[in-house]
Amino acid sequence: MSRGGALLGRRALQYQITHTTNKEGFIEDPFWGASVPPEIASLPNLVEDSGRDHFRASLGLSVHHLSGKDVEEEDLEDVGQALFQGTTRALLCAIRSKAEEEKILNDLQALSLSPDVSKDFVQALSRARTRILSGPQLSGPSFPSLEDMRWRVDVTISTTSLSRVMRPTILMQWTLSDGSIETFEVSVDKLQDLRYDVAKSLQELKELENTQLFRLHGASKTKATKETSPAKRPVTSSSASPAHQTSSAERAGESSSMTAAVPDF
Amino acid sequence: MDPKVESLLDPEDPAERSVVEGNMDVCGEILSRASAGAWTMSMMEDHVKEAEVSAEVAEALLRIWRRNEPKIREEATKQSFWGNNLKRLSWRVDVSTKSRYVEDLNEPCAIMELNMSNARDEDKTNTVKFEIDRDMLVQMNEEVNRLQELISTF
Repeated sequence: MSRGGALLGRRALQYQITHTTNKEGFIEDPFWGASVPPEIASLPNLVEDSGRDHFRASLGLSVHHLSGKDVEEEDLEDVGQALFQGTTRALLCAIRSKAEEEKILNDLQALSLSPDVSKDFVQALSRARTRILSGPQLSGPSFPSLEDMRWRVDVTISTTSLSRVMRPTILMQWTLSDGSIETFEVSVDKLQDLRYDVAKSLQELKELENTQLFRLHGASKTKATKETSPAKRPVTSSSASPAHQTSSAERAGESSSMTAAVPDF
Repeated sequence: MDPKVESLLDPEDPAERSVVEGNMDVCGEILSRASAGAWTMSMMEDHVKEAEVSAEVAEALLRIWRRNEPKIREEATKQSFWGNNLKRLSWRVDVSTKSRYVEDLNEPCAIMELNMSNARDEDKTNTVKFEIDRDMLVQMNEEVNRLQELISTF
């Protein structure tokens, strides 16, 4: 029995059914996992008591909160703490599961939420997915990312030590997501190195995406639940053999080190 | 004075030191002018004849210019660029498998490290690390190739 089942009150019996069947006829966990979290389990009662408008307002506040913005105390009191916790938890679970919208819709309706309310949830999720993913709740530790790359080609005509240079140099300005701006010169020789490195890393990235690991991962969206256990078994880097790590590193060349080796199945 | 030259001097002969320093100043000035004006060998010979230097120094100057003209010009060019220069680019490809909140990430991304240094002061280095997704990497690849095309037509 799920942990939430004990806390559900009048709808407890319905919540014990936590698995649904997908198109292929395989049993799947709902997007919140094998056991329903109490905050999500209490959603149908809360929506029934407070109404659809409150649910929508609560969804808005949850998106706001998960995007890393402050939520006003008054707004929270208006929608109710329990409803806010329910919508926040449901949004988090939906994003973590990477479930498709149709599945989320079915799971919410199986939880006894009305089709309109379920649709509100899916629409809010669809609109705010990117914002939530980049919010503090979901984004883990990471390096800043490259946001913008600007360049200019200068041809040096004359300098204090040379009357006639006529040599092109590239002035690069790269902007990172943490707001820092790096400006540097790249000589023509160095540009060749840069071209090689960028092309090589892109090639590695493409090869990696085409490997069995990612194809299997894509397939797992529909078929991984064929196993007797309903829980999905994620393929992680720890399943890779050292032999494969060596071959990947060799393929990537001297400057490449892959933290997750890709096994051949 | 360069320590190597210093070690060749007789410490008990101050006159020798002043002669060497004078020769070095004259040679440095002539070589700077030769490099800046892109002198040919015959131009160098003409200028050396006009300069008030001994026959040994004139011969040494001509020999240095004949053998090392490209090196001297390259060094002068290097001194003309004093900004932040890209010295090294390192990269690796990672796959994020899972995080605290997301069980099943499997997102590949490249991590790059730029090493930059000041052309005039090699000790002043700057290292920048960032991650770059496939779309941005594709864009960067296009930009760099475009740059190469532009420069090759120059």
